[in-house]
Amino acid sequence: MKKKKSIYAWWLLLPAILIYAIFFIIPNVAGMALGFTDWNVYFFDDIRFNGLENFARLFGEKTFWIAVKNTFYFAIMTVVLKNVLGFLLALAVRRESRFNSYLRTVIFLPIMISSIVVCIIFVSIYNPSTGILNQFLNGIGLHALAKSWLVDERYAMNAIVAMEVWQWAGLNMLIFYSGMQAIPSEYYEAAKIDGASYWQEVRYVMLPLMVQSFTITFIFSIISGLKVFSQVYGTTNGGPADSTQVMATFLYRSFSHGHYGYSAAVGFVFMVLIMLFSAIVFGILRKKEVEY
Amino acid sequence: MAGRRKFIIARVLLFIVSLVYIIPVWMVLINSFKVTAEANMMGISLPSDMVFHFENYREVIRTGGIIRGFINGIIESLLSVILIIIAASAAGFVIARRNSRLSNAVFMLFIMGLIVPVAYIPTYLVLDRLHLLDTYTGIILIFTTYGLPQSVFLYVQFAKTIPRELDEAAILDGCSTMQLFTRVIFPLLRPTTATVFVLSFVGAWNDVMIPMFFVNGNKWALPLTVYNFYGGYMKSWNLVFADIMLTIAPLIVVYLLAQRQIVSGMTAGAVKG
Repeated sequence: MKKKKSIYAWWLLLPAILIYAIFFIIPNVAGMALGFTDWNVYFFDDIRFNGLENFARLFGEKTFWIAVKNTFYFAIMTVVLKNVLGFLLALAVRRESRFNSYLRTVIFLPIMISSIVVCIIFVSIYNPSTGILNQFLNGIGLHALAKSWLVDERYAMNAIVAMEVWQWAGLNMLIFYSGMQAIPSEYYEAAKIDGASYWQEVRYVMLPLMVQSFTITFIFSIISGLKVFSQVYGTTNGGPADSTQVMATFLYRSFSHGHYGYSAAVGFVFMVLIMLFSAIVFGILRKKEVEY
Repeated sequence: MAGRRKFIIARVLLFIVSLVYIIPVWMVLINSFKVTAEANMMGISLPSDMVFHFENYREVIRTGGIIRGFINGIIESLLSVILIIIAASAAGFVIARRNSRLSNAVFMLFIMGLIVPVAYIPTYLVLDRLHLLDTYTGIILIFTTYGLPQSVFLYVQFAKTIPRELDEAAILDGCSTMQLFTRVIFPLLRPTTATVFVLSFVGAWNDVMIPMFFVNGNKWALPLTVYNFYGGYMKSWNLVFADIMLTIAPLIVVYLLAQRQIVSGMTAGAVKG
């Protein structure tokens, strides 16, 4: 039997595949090899294999483990806060009204601003003496709560977490909002007839039907949380005393010192951690999805 | 009665939430018009002498490399978006139509790109060997590469909703594959093209790490130029704030004009359609 020639010519795939292969696939494959070399800025064209040396040095470096710990702390905190706040906000703005559409517009707005610019704005907001946050706290008499946000090791990381949540909670809000719109209204009516209270309705009707939205927001927030760079680079650059050092800032630091082989090893470990963690979360959430 | 009170409390709370979003932007705006000493106090009241110092903006435009950053951003974002639209729409169409193991594998490879972080160091090596380090071509191709996964995904989703009968009718009418795509399918993909345009443009414009790794400061788009400017003018917040306003104003205008597209694009695929 002669195979029918498809009218969907494969060569239409070529431009995308070509660009993608050269600048995504090749670098990712090469990355595995480069991590085992001593490539650096001083002997730029003389790349030699040095076995597991980079990885041994990396795993022996205390700052690396601090960076891993901080990265996961940042990712987990932002995932939880962005999803909880995003969900509550979506509940609040779910019905159509002028006020709600104003809220949706305003809360989504910061997503348009580059994170590095948001950093500068928050450096000013968090300024210990003149920033509006402490001015406000002092103004309402809560002097004890006015801290040196980005300067104090104890608060710097959480201050950055808060900034990230401020910027991105609106995205989750809108994903949940459209998830809620997609649930057929008969389900709510049925629950009402059965005498369900508002929170029972949310818990037993809405939540189970929205697992798919949660899968997406979880995956998005985990990946962006683990990849965090500019939020830290633009505010504290890893300080004070490495208390906000994350994997990407650690990677950038070794890159700017010119240790390319070593940085490639960092990048490789970084990638493996992200892939592993997202695969685990994705596996857990997939099992909970319901068809309707 | 109790319901009414609850309603009012909820309204007040939500209004406060919206202030948490508006006040920072207001603070930037109002301080950008003040004299340095007063702007450094970072208050949110109007300028004490009620004089709006528009010359702060003139000063920033003169010294901040605003025009350069703006042109860089337009060149890099626009050209990469055009490449993304051409490559991703064609690929998305074929992936949506062919149901072979190969096309599924290609699709999975693109999906991987959504998860895997940029392999900065090896990409640096590739760009170096191709003599594309610190060039517009280089950074445009990298933006294109990292814009592709999301765009291919959106095009595949949308192309699946276009009936296949249309393809067959076009071929029977004597269209070649190329004509089928350019004359029939691509125009129908327009809503997705609009979404991809906005998302990829904003993504490239706002990116931080890619320009930092692969090009020098004279090829950075506005947001990073602002960061640079801030590094040099930490003591003059009025100028820093004016610089920030000039950077975010175009995007806020775009957002208010194309809100529907942006929102539907960013939440696409997250909802069962």
